[in-house]
Parts: sequence; structure tokens; C-alpha cells
Amino acid sequence: MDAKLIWLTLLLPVAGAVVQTLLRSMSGTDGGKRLLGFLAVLPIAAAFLIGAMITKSMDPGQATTITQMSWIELKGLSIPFELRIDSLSMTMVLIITGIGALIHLYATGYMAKEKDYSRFFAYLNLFIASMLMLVLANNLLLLFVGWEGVGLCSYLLIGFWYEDKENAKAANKAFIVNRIGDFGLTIGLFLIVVAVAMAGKGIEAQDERYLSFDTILPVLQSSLVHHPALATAIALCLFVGACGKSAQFPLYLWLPDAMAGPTPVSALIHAATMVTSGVVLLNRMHIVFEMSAVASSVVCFVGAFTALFAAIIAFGQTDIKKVLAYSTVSQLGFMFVACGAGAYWVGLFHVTTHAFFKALLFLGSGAVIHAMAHEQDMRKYGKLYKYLPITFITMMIGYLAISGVPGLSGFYSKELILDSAMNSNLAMVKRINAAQVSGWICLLTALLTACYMTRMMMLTFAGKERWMEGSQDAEHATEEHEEHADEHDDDHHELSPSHRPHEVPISMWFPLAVLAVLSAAGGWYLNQGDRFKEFLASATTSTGFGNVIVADETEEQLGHMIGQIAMFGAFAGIIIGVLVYWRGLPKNGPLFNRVFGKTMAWSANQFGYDQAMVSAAVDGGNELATLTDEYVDRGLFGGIGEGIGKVSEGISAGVKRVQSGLVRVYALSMLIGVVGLVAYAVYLMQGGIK
Amino acid sequence: MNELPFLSIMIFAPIVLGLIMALVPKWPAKVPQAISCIIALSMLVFGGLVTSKFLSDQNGLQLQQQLDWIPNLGVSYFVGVDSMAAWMILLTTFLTLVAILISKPANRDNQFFGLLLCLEGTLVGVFSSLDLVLFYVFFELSLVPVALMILGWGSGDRGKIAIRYIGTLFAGSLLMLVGILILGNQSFNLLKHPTFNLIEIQNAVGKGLWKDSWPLQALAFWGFMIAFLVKSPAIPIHRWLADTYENAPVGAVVAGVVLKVGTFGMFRFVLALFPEACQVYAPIMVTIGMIGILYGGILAAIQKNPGRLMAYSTVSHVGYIVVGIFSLNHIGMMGAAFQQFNHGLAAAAVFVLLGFLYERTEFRSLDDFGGLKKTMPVFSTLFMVAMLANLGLPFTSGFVGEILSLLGSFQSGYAGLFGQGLMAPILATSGAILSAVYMLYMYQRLFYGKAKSDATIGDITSREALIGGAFACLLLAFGILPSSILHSMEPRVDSIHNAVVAPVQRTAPEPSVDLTTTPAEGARGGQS
Repeated sequence: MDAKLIWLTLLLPVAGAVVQTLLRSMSGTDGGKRLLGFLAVLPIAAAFLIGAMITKSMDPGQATTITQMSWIELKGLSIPFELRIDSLSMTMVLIITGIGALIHLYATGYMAKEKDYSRFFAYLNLFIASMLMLVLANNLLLLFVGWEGVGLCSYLLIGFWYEDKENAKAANKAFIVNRIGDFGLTIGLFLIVVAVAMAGKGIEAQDERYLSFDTILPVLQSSLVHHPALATAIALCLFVGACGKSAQFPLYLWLPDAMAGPTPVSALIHAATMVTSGVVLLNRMHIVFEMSAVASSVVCFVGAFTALFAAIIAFGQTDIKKVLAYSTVSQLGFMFVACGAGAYWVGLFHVTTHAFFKALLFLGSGAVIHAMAHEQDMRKYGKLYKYLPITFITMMIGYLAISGVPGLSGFYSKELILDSAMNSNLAMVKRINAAQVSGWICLLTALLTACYMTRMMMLTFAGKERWMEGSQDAEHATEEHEEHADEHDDDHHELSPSHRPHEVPISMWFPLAVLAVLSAAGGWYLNQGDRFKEFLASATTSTGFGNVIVADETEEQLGHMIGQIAMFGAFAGIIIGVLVYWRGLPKNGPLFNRVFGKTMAWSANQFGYDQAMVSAAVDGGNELATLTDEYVDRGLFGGIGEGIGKVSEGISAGVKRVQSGLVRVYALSMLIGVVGLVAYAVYLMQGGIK
Repeated sequence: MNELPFLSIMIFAPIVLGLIMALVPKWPAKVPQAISCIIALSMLVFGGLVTSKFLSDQNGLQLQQQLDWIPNLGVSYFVGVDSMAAWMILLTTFLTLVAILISKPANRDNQFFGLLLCLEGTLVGVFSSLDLVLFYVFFELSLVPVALMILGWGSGDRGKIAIRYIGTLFAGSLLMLVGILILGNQSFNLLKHPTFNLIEIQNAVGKGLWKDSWPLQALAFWGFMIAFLVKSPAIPIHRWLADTYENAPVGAVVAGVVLKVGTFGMFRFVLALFPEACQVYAPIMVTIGMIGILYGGILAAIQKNPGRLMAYSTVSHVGYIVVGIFSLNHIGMMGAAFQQFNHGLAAAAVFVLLGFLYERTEFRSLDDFGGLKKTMPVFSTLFMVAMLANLGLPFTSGFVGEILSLLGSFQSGYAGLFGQGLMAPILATSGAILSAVYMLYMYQRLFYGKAKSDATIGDITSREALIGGAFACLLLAFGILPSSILHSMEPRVDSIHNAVVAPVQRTAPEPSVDLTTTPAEGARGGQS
């Protein structure tokens, strides 16, 4: 397999987007939509096949660089178009295109009634292309292209239903919060350039690819040892970028709002693309993080805190997609804990399994929403197992997988995360082992995860058919949830008590079935004989530092115990969840209210964090700008400009014999110039005489 | 010297023909537009020919032409182009053509198009003058057509705005005149004959033009810099631009966007002629640029009028150019050179598209619209591309200039060169967040939400789509393949960079020979 074909993987989705744009007039008819749908899935599926073939023929121990042409070429800085084929990038390529193709297929059914069919798939294809660029890039600037590209595509897709201003706001929020992260990444990138240029005495003068991984990784490895502070600075800057894309505290704000987009988009953002980019970046640059215990501790703590924080918030959500959104935030926290503990491949392993089951859960929730006339409030669901059997069974598998039930994919990756966190000594600052502390927090979070996921499943599939109970429930629904329900349903009838949900078409349940198989068996398959670990070994573990994770006999035992504790946690969480939500929605009885009512409302509100941040940024920013406008721009600078203006007006008024003062001013001005020149000439001649 | 005097043709043909057109009354409808269109098109071809000279490996000054003008004072008519000027001239000719194509003046269209042509000629003059006095004359003259267009076809209190425009910019350029006179005096003292020839003075700088006359150099530096900063514009004197962009006719604005004369002047005059002053004041200038980036971004976010919004956005973008130039770093200066070209294009793209909208319904506020995505899908796509180029998304031309400027500044700051620090570049980098805020804000106001009931307007015509599409393609092309510009500009920027950095190595006390190098190596290092 010629490795150059990797360009095809990248360009096929771009071509797909172009084709969709050109054929946009065809989205009027059903036949046209079918063709467009086919043309949308095709490039992604083809890209997957090519990616699979390249992966098969490559040597996982080696990185191949494919350089095409120069992009930015300067004296002292050279940034070509170059892709990197190694185990890390190809793992991501397979996830992105594989899961991506399934989501595309699903979307052909989900969006069947959409008028803007081609626009949707153009964005979707572009999204895949950007993400591929991000993972395949061999230099940080090309990675940045993909990085900003997924930001743009998510902006476009979140605001896809543009008639609702709320969607536009959510889209803007996503883009702007991401840009805050990008700011960190940019600074990190600059720091790397100066660090490499400084240390790069060994780099050949003609090879000034100061941002290419194959150049910088070895240099950083050898030079940052002597500059630990610089290593910390670079790592923290990169981590700010990762926080933005991967929705970690404090920059997670955009992800829950991103639910405003169509459900396949949510699946794509949450499972296959976008949010995983932060983990990819940490994997790529793991050398820098390994160099800094401080940065690794920060990564651990932020990850653990985010995991716990988001899990608690998930309890308060009534919108099915929001529960899943916060669960993504929480699971991403797990991944970062693994990375902070130095087990980068474990983080990537969780990315993989999470991609399976989160895509499944999102698409499943999409099927539920589709069947329930675009109602997203779980309080109006109930007993859906009877109406949506395939959706129920597949989602059940996804749910058990995310809860960490043994044998399913989530169990393997979660256990590995806990294990590596408990046994790591990388993130050790002043004798506090951040990884270990985070490991315990994650253990608690794993229990909570099982619990809130049970709540979601029970509310949706068990209990009574609550939408039939009339509208008294609707009064409880807070305004927030009303706003975020999809309001584009011109073609859909409202959810009425007489509504009968129907199972979704095959284009939608087939991807569910495939993902269910992957969620069930994927973890076991990949973990067998350390298959995944060995595949990724060369890309994500550094050779110079020996084994980061020290595993001696006693810790081996602890690891074994952790597996059991985790298992216990998962089951405990499920049992608690089942007990509380057995009858569907718990009646807001006095006991329940007293114990949980306030907490639930509070956590539903994200403890006021989102509100505080948004009002600080929007209102505060507005205030700042308005005050600046009033006092500085108009007052101070306006005064200066006014002064000059007044003078010229005064001059023009003074000599106003002709109508147009303008010409006068100008003539006068020129006159002054000429006089000056003449005066100078005179002066010169005098000097000349002397 | 057997070639045609392209530059002189490009300067005087539009001015003369434009004046004739403006002064001859009674034209049949459409004819002035058609004629000026043909003229502008041939100018664009000439511009392309001039620029193509630099695509091959040629560098240095091309197409020089020198005639005596006021020999007693050493003033000559001396024109010629380097690669940076060539690209700016190409941009001027392109934007003039676009301005002519999209303008539909309500009356006296012969005068309007005549003025546009005059503007083109004077701008080419500005970009190609190699004599200080000649440059000053064109610099001043280029104000006149824009002011007259505001006066004749603008909106709002146009008389006042036109006078403000001229008055402010003229006040700035008077200071430049002082600088020019100082330069002339100094070179007279050194060379013993009067001259305003840029090349000659530039060489004189190397021979100790500023020896023992630091206050004069500082004075002249500020004279030039203030003129250029006002023109660019940078804070604090930027409000004239907001008034102008709000009220000037669209055609004038589009062609006026190439008033990148300010930053161009910094490259051609300030850096080469005042090297020590540039080094001393570099931290101040970088700070001014950084404040401009943030200040313009913050204020752009609350503007309701799209013209004013673009004016503050311009202040912000000019900040990047200033930061890049005064990083005094090769990469940063390349970024600034690229950004100066790109911003002329990207801002013009937004103005052209806003002009299409303005033509359908006269609007003053972004709040007058909403939901245009539904009624104008093609338009909204093109606007998206223009917006992305303005907020500096990778693979649009906006990205390359910004990232290189900031990287250069960061490098200088990290190394502590010329007293620069890291604070300014880091703060400047955060401008990317602000540009996202104000551009998305504008896009949201125009395109999202439900369509306002009174705004029932159809999508743009295919001719308009063609013009907008050309902009979109250029913005993407220069983002994905910036090397055509970068390569041809590099030798020029490199020579400027050497000119401004070199004197340090010469005048600063030679560092005691590094112990690790042999004396022979040290001596060689001193020579280079």
C-alpha cells in the first residue's frame, strides 16, 4: 500500500463537501436526497477503507512522514504540507472515518425531512476532513489548521438551524470558548518554536521545520531536561488548548450548549471528532508533559475535577442529550487523568472505547428523539422499550459499557485508567501524588456514572408512558429546557398524548447495531494480549525515560484490587439508580425533595458557573466596551480628533470666501507645504554659500 | 531601459483620463462606467505585468525612471518598484476595478468614476515614488479624490466629515514634511549636494547620516511615524476612519481600503531611514500595536453600524502589522508585509459584500436585518468566507499574516531584542479571541434568526456573485498557497531587515571576543 494514498483519505471528505455544495439544488426531492446521502457516506467509507489498508501495511513501530509541498516557507521557518503516519494518527483516522461513516449513514435517515440536506452533509464532510487534518498533521501549524477547522465546522453545525437565535448564540459560544483555548495553543506553539530554535544547534541549517514533529520531538526531549520551567510553560499552554477543545473545566461551557445542533452532529462532536483532539494533542506532545511533574499534576487534577463535577451536574439534567453531554465531559476527564498519570496510550484507549459507546448512546438518543416528535425532555418519556425494541437493546449495551460492567468495552479502559492513576509516580509534586488522588476521585465518579446513566435509561425506557398523562408535567419543565428543544419541527407534529412512537428506519438502526457490537466486544478485542498498547507503544511512550509506570509486586496486587473495586462501584451505581428510578420519575415527595431537591436544581444549573461566566463575559465585556467607547474613544480620542477637526474647520471658516471650504483648506495646506519647502530652499542656499 | 515606462503610464493615464471624464459634462448613461471600466482593466493588466517581474527570481528595484524636476533642490521625478510595492499596486488596480464595477452613483457618474481613476493614479504614485518630495505630493494628492467623493456622494453630515478627513490626515502629513526636511538637510550636510532621492539617502544612512545627531533622527522618526500612524490608522487618532467608513460611498471605501499607505510607508521609509530610532522605539511601537489590536477589537464588538465595526476592526488588524514590523524580526516583518496585503483584500471583500446589501436596502444598523441566510444562501456563504479571512482562520489569507507577525514579535520578545518583552506579543495574541467575537457578532446579526418582515430581498445576482466569488477564491488561495507572495517579498523584506538591524552591529561596541571562538572566527564574525 503506497503511503502517499493517505492524502486521498484527507481529500475525499473535502471532495465530498464540494460535491454536496455543487449539487445543492437536488435536496428538493426524495430521490435527490437519497443520492446526496449516498454521496455523503461514500467518501467517508472510502477514506476508512484506505486508512485501514494503510494501517495494515504499516509498521507500527515507525513514523512515516509524507511531504507534499511547502505551505509557508521563509528564511528561518519552514512549514510544508506534511502528514505523519504512525500508530497514533492511524488509530485516530480509523476511529474518525469508521465511526464517522456510521454517523453519516445514520444522518441520512435522521435528516430525511430536512430541507437543507446538502448543506448539512457538506458541513459534516468538512468536519471529518478537518479532524483528519488535525490527527494526520506532521507539524503543529497544520494541526492548528485542523484544530480551528473543527472549531469552524462545529460552529456551522451547532448553528445549523439558523432561524433560532438561541442556536446562533450556542454556536458563537462554542467558537469563542474554543478560541480561548486556541490562544493557549498558539502561545504554546510560539514557545516551542523559540525553544527549538534556541536548542536546535544540532538541526541542520537548511532544515528549519521548527514545528514538525519529527524535528521537534527529539530536540525537545533532549533540551527541555535542562529547562524544566520552560517545559512546564509549554505543557500548560498546550493544555489550555486541550481544555478548550476537549471541554475540560473551566472551558467546558460550550459543549452542553452544542446540543443545539442536530443529534448526529452531537454524536460526531462527542464521539469521533473534536473533543478527542485534546487527548490527541497530549499524546502527540507527551514528551513535554512527561518532562514536567507540575503540568502532569495539573492535567490530573483538572481531569479528575471535571469528571466529578460533570457527573454531578448530569444528575440534574432532564434533557436526554444534556445528560449525555455532561457524561462526555466527565469521561473526557477520565482520559486526562490517564494522560496526566503518564499512561498516554490508556487515554487513547478510552478515547476509542468511548467513541464506540458514546456514539451508540447519542445515536440511540437521537432515535428516541426522532420517535418522540423531537421532544428531548426525559420526563415525558417512559416505557419506550415496548415501542423501540432495537433502540432499547442497543442503548442498553452502550449504557452497560459506559457504566463499566465487566466484559464490555468501557470496563477495560476504565480499569486501566484507575490502575495507571493509582500506580503512577509521574505527577508527583511536593510528595503529593496527584495521579493517585485523581484515581480515587475517578473511582467515585465511576460509581456516579453508573448511577446517572441508570437514571437516564430508567426514565427513558422504564416506567409508564408519561407523555400520555396530559400536560401537567409540562408546567414543571423549566424555561431553559423549552428553549433548547429543537424548534425546527415544521414537519413534525407536537408530542401529543395520543402519540405512538415507531421504531426508526434501517439506515438508522443499522449503525446502532454495529456500534453495539463494537461497544460490547471492542474493549476485549483490543485489550487482548496488550494489542492496543503494543500498537501504540512507539508513538506514545518515550524511550528516554524508562517505564514511567513502575509496577512491582505489591502494586500489581493493588491493581487487581482496583479492578474489583471498580466493578463493585459500577454495580453499586446501577443498583442505586434502579432503586431510585424503578417507578420512572420519582414523585417529588417531601423526603425526596428535602434530600435532593435543592441539590438537583442547583446541579441542573451547573452550580451557577455557566451563568456566572457568561454574564461576566457578555455583560461585563459589553460594559467594558461601552464605557471605553464613551469615555476613552469618544471622550479622550474623540476630543483629540475633534480638536484637529475643529482647527481645520476653523481655518476653513476663516477663509470661507468660496462655497467649498474643503478646497480652501486643502489649498491652504498645500500652501503651507510649499512655503516650508521654499523656506528650506532658502536655508539650503545660504548654507551652500557659506 | 528599453521597456515602456509602465509606472508613469499607470500613474498619469488614470489621472489625466479621469480628470477629462470628470470635467467634460453631459455623458450618456452608463458610458462613463464602461470607459472607466476599460481603463481600470488595462491598469490591472499592467499591474499584473509589473508584479509578474517579481515572481521569477528577480529582486531589487525594477522599472526605474528618473527625470529632473526641481534640480536646484535635488528634487526629481523618480519612480520604481520593489516587490512589496508591486503587490500593493496590483491590489490597488484590482480594487479600483471592483469599485468601478460595483458602484452605482445616484448622479454625476462621470465625476464619480473620474475621481476613482484619479485615486488609482495617485495611489500608484504613492507606492512607486522613490523621491521623498514626490512621495509627499502623491501622499497628499491621494486625499483629494476620497474627500471629494465623500462630499459629493456620501451620507450623513458629509461636509463636516470630508473636512475632518482632510484636516486630520493633513495635520499628520505636515509632521512628515518636517521629517523630510530634516532628512534633506542631513543628507545635504553629508553629501554636499541637495537631494531627496530615497536611494541616495538610504545609502547615506549607512555612511553615518545620523552620526551625532540623535535628537534630529528621533524628531524625523516621529514626524514620519505620526503621519503613518494616523493614516493607517492606529490609536489614538483613528476616529476619522470610523466616520469615513460609516458615511463614504461604497466605491470610495473599497478603493480606499488600499490606503495601506501608512504601513507601507513604515516599511519603505521609516525602517530604512531611521534604524537607530526604530530600535530604540520598537517597544513603544509594539505596545501601540498591541493596544490597537485589543482596543479595536473591544470597540468593534459593540458597534451597530457595519462601517464603524469594520473601521475598528481595521484598527485592530493594523495593530498586527505594526507589531510585526517593529518586532524587527525577519519572520515578523514578513508577516506584517503579508498582512498588509491581505487586509486590503479581506476588508475590501467585506465592504463589497456589504455594498451589495446596501444597494438593496439602505441600512445603518446591523439590527435592521436577520435571517438573511434563508433568503440569500449564496451571499451568506461568500460573506462567511470574507468573515473567516477577517478573523484569521487558517487556510484563509488572514491567518498567515497574523501568525507570522505574532511569532516574530514573540521571538524578539523572548530573546529580549531591542528591549522588547513577552507581554506585548502574548496580549496581542489574545486579539484572536476578540476578532472572533466581533465578526461572529456581525454575522449573527445579519444572517441568523428569523427574517425581519420588511426585509424581503432576494439573493445576489450572478454578476455580484462573480465579484464576491472572486474575492472568496483569492482569500482562500492566498491562505492555502501564500508562497507566491511570501517568496517574492522575501528578498525585499530581508534587505529592509538588514538595513534596520545592521547598524547595531556596526556602532555598538564590539562584544569582547567570545572565549569559545578562536580570534580568527571572531574577526570574521565582525566583518559579516
